[in-house]
Amino acid sequence: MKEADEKPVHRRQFIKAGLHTTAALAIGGLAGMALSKSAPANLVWQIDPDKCIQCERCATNCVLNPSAVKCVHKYAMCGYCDLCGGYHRPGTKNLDTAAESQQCPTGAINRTFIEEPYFQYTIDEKLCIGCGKCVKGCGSFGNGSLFLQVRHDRCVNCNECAIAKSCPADAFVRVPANKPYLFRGGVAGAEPPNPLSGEAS
Amino acid sequence: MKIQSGRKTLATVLVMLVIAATITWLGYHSLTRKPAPTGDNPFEYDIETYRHVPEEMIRYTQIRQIPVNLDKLLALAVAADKRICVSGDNKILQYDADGKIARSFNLTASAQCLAIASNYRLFLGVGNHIEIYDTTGALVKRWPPFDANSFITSLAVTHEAVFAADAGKLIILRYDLNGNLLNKIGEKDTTRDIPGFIIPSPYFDVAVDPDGFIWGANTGRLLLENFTPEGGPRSHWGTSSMRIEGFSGCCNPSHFAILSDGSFVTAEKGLERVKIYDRAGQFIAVVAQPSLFRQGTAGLDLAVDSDDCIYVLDSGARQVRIFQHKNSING
Amino acid sequence: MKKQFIILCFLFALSVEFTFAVEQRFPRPDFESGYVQPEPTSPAARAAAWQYIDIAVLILTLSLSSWLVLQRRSRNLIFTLMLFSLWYFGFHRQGCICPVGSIQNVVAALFDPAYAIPVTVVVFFIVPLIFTLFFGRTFCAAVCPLGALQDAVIVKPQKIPAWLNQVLGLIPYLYLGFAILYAATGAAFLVCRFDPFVGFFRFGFNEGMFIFSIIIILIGMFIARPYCRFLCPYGVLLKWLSMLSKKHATITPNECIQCHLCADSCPFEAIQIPTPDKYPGDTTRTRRQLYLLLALTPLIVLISAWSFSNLSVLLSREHYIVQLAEQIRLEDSGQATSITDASKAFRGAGATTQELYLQAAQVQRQFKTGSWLLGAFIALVFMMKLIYLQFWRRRTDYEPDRANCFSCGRCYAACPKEHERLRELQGVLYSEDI
Repeated sequence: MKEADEKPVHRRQFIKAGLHTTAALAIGGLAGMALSKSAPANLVWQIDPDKCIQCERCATNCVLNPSAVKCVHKYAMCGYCDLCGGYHRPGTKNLDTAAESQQCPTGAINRTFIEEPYFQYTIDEKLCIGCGKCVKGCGSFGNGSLFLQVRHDRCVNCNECAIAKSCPADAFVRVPANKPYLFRGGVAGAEPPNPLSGEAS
Repeated sequence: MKIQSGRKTLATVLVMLVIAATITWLGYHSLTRKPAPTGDNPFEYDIETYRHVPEEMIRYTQIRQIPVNLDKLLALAVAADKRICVSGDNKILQYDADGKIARSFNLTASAQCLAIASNYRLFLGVGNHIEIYDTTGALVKRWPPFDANSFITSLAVTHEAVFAADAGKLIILRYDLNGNLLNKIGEKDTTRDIPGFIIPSPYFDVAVDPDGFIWGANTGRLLLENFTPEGGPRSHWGTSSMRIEGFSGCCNPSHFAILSDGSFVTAEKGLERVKIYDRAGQFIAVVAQPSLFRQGTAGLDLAVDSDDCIYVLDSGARQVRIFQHKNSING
Repeated sequence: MKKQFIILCFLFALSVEFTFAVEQRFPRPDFESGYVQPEPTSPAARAAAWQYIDIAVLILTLSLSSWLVLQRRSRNLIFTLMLFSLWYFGFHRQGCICPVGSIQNVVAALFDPAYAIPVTVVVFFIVPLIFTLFFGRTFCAAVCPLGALQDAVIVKPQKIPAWLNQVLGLIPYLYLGFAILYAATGAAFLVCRFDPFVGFFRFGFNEGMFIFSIIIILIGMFIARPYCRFLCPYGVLLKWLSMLSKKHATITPNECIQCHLCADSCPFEAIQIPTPDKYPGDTTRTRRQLYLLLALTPLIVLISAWSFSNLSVLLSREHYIVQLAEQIRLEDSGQATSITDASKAFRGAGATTQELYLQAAQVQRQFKTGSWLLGAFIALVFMMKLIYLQFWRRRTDYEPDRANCFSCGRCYAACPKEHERLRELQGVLYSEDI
């Protein structure tokens, strides 16, 4: 359209100023709406151990290598068994620390004698790859004191977590960064949270 | 001009080389890091081979099931007249022999275990103490706990005594019918060759055999141990094995019951299976194989009625399943 | 209120879990050797203070970038700042959260009642938009790590045909539409999933994304900033705002002498050259075309909306719940070839199939509405583009194309007037240098 060029410039400027203001208001509105649904704390990914089915995807699907998911041991729930469903390969005869007796593919569980007849099992997180094999064994036969958790010294908190995307049990949840773990049997030394206190903001 | 363009070409080549090197390195880094997804799960915790049971070993068949409308099923008992009591969700449900609900009443806390006396009074293990209810569901008596840390996981009632398995203190308590503690059974005592109970998870069952001797499940040692009512050690049996003749995992059998001929019915967690052993602990037959249960079902409480039918509390399917020997059906 | 309710629900859910767990942890062995039970460690997440540092760095770099673009006019300094942003937001922060991806968080916050968006993410989404509304796309120039990575690998930029440039330029609208649909329905964060650069920042790719990333980088050596121009969904918003911005980077510091030297300096073909004095085409024909397009627009928008709504079932297959419901339906009707982990998990969790089907139907309804809107949006964008092309404005000077200019500052050095200004600044006569 050719006639546009001869029109007074101030009309165009007026329209532009109007649109500029509209855009500013739109941004403000969007920000307001988003902020009205905001949480003060940042959100991080975590595994709900009660939903986890130990499918192994945590070991292979994390963007990090090895995965940011590790096995955590809640000692207070452990039976300190001689024959540990998490430690020993199913059907093993020898309750010892030989490699062929262990089911952890990386040998990341340390078995130490405490006193007759109790043994302590400790996860070496440097070796743990988060496959969840021990979690399955412990959950099947034992008390479920082993479970998988996203370790926040490693997790880079992807906006779309690659493991969450592929988790078949929908066990990945976003939790506040100041309470970033969903341990079984409660967090170390902490009282169970009272639903009516805290987070009053 | 020439020098400049030469320098530019050089820079271009250098940048391209750097990019190519980075890409090669990253490619190597990212493509060699993980096992290729083949469909096989290299980390599979595989107990499938142990879940399979040959058909000829299964000598029992399910004749009936009673759905139980509770969320968390905890314990089961069958009386002489075949009435059934189920505990769960702070409630007791009573069914008559046909499986119709006869009565239900509420408790202040969930009963972990229950037993029915010959006068049909209900003995309940509630946390660290025992409560007794009459047939209408009225509280008759609450016995004081043996210890604050007691945790009653199983009860057996005879004509003259009540035996309570205390998983908190790792002993079996023997009371008279008025709630007076007579003696402790199975306490660790090296002088009498009693190794003591090891109870890694909250399953610790007790039962009385037809001869009046006391059996307790030493789950941590995967044994059934036998005592006189006064606490004298008699014998024990049980082997640790994933195979059908043994007890699997760290702590089994989670529950057991004794048939009229003195043979045993045992239930395991981890590998959900119910089996029969003879009086000497020889494996005889399978009642229910793992495939009948939802994987991960723990706490298959057992009861036996006067016809030696076996009642299994299936907390996964939320029902009571009743099994009968195949021979007795045919005959 | 809603937010508090969500938090309360969350805490309540936690407390229910705790009572359950307390029951499970019984009994604890009586140790006689004085053994003390250790507690599992719980390494803290990134400290909250870092969030505020990130916001401060974002605002600082945006301010600095705007100043460098509009006042200081130094390509070298812009490039230096760009490298800093590449390091900080890219390699140090490892990519997340970035304003490009934050679109989806904002959309999720608006549509998903259970999602409470962190304040940081809102700030990362909003602040670059505000800066663009006032100063043009200075965010793209030196703050965005994705842009920075591409800008750093431009080796031999080639011109591409104008029509192709226009056609490819429509892809970001499509991408934005799909990203919003999938984020609003809770199906996926597509922009993050197909981010070709975040893998470089973390040194971790999956196989498919690695190939895609490499292709983008290789293309980027010859076609400058391909992601920014032909994919970036955030760029769509920035384009709109940049067209309305109060100030914008100019090629010449004062007046244009129409020497044409700048036009070749832009690797993004974002410099508009002066037009003839008179409209070169047939005015009546153009006007007729315009009326035709305007008349056709509602019809085409409707057809497109309808077509997309027919695809809604297909599109909804990406959603977890729909996938699961489909699998369960196949298994229950005996048509499934194999059982998936997801269906095993679902059956183990104890929810009923009926509930699942209801949820899936709900998701599919959302997709139905969303697909209508998506179809309408895409058709509208195409038609607006066609309509816009019918308009003609006389231009006497070389000007940056406000929508597509990244304010990178490459053209400054091409302008003779700029050299004049610099010499004057240094008090040196322009002629001496020749």
